[in-house]
Amino acid sequence: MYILNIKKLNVKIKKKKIINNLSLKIKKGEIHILMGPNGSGKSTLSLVIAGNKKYKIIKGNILFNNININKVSIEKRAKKGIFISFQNSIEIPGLNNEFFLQQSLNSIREFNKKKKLNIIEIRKKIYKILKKLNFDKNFLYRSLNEGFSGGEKKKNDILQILLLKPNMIILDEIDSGLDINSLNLILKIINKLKKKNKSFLIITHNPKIINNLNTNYIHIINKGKIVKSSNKNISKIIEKKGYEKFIKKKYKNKIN
Amino acid sequence: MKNLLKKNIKIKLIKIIILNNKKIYKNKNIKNLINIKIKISKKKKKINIIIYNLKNKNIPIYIIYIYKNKYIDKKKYNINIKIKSNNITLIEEYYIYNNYNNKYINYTYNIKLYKNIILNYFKIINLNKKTNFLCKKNIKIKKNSKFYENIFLINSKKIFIKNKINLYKNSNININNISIIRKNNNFFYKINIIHNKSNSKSYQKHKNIILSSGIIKFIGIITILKKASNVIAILKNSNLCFNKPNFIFIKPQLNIKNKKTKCEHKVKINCIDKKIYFYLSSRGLNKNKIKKIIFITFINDIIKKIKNKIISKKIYKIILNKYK
Repeated sequence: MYILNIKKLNVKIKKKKIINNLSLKIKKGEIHILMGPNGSGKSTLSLVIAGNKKYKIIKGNILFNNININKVSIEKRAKKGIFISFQNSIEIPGLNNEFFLQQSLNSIREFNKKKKLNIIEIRKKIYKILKKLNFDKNFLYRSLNEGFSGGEKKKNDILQILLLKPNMIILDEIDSGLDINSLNLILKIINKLKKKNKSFLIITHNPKIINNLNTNYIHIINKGKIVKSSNKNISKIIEKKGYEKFIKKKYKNKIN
Repeated sequence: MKNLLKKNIKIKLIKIIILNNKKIYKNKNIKNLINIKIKISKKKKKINIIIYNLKNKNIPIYIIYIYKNKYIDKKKYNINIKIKSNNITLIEEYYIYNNYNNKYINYTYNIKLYKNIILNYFKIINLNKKTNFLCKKNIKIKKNSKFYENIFLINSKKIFIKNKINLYKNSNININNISIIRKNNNFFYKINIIHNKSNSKSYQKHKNIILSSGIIKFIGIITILKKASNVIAILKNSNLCFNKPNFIFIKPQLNIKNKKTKCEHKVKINCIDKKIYFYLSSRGLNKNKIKKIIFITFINDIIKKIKNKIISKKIYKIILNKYK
């Protein structure tokens, strides 16, 4: 069964069409990598899946756990288990990180008909995760993403993933700003989560990520269309020759 | 309103309730604990409160103004508060006004702090949508005295506040204001702080939240006279809009006549960004919760400064109830 099934998706912003007949299927416990030149529509696709209203779906469907979510609100998509880590996380001065996590976790638990947790219970959970991520406890009492380095912002996203436990995780350039040790740690966590049947759609340009992850498929996107879908081996060709080979030839949209 | 009073009784604080111009002491033994004189003249419409020689330290004083079933005309009321004690004093004031037939509350306020006094002053103005609140305030802070003013304007149709504050040697004023402006509300605030003598300090933080379209006019004047050296004067004004369109006019004005001074002014106007909405809702929060979170975030730094937790909790509750 597919956790995410995108069928012939067409999306426009204002009058410009930015995603053309795109189809993508992701099963539970799979890692898919999305690659492509700048401005090819990678981040746009992730935002469309998350439910950004800026983009209008003209044709096609997005099915999440076999349910059409085209008209489902952003908040409900998140509650159902879609998580997106943005390329540039937003800073909200004054919003305490712990308070935000508490609110977010409880609203998701409430949706899933689970008991709300109090601050002490949540704190215990967060402290465990912070240990895993080699984070100081003071991190919790800072404002959300304010004054965070690029790496800290990404680590904060991972903290949210480990706490909120979503099923479909979209990571947009997770490696930006991360040092080698932190990147290795995060890749380990992703591999562990894969074993727990969590699915990933990872947008990256970094071959190290592809090599160190148990990647199932790599998709190359150009002008809002997937031009090539293949296994891990394709990354070596991309590393040597870039995307040109795939962009020039008109590949049919073969999706596994 | 009843809940508020009940809570106060539980805390066992001294209360002076001025109900339709009749003073009521809630605590019968009040005169043994505190020397306080209240004179209310109905003809001249004056309320004089003089507090002096406090026997017990840190006794909070509640002054609650309640108006029910009685028409209050446009004529001014004068309230004079003089504090002559050497101790720390805490005054908490409520303006609670339930009668929908009344349209105006109009006050002139005179507060005078004598030497070596610390006054913590809390004011909560929680009126109905049809009431206009007009207030003129003159404050004099004498040598070595400190005045901490916290004002929370929660609800009223039109708010017009004009403050004039005189600071003398080594005196200090710390103003924290939160005002919530609702649909078609009009908010005018003018403050003039005059540093008359050296080593005086003034810190101001004004925060306005516009829930739906409203008008804000703010004029902040800081005057530092020639004799006043080593003065610190800081004015910060920040505004948060939940919806558009709004009209916000902020004018800081500095009149500095002494070279040895430190002056600062900051103005911020923020609208809740679509990006913030998107980010927070992508974490499972609905629109109302997002608004509430941002609302709390915005006012949090002012409420955190309130050392008395009973008061800060109370203010949180009142504000959040109004927000709903």
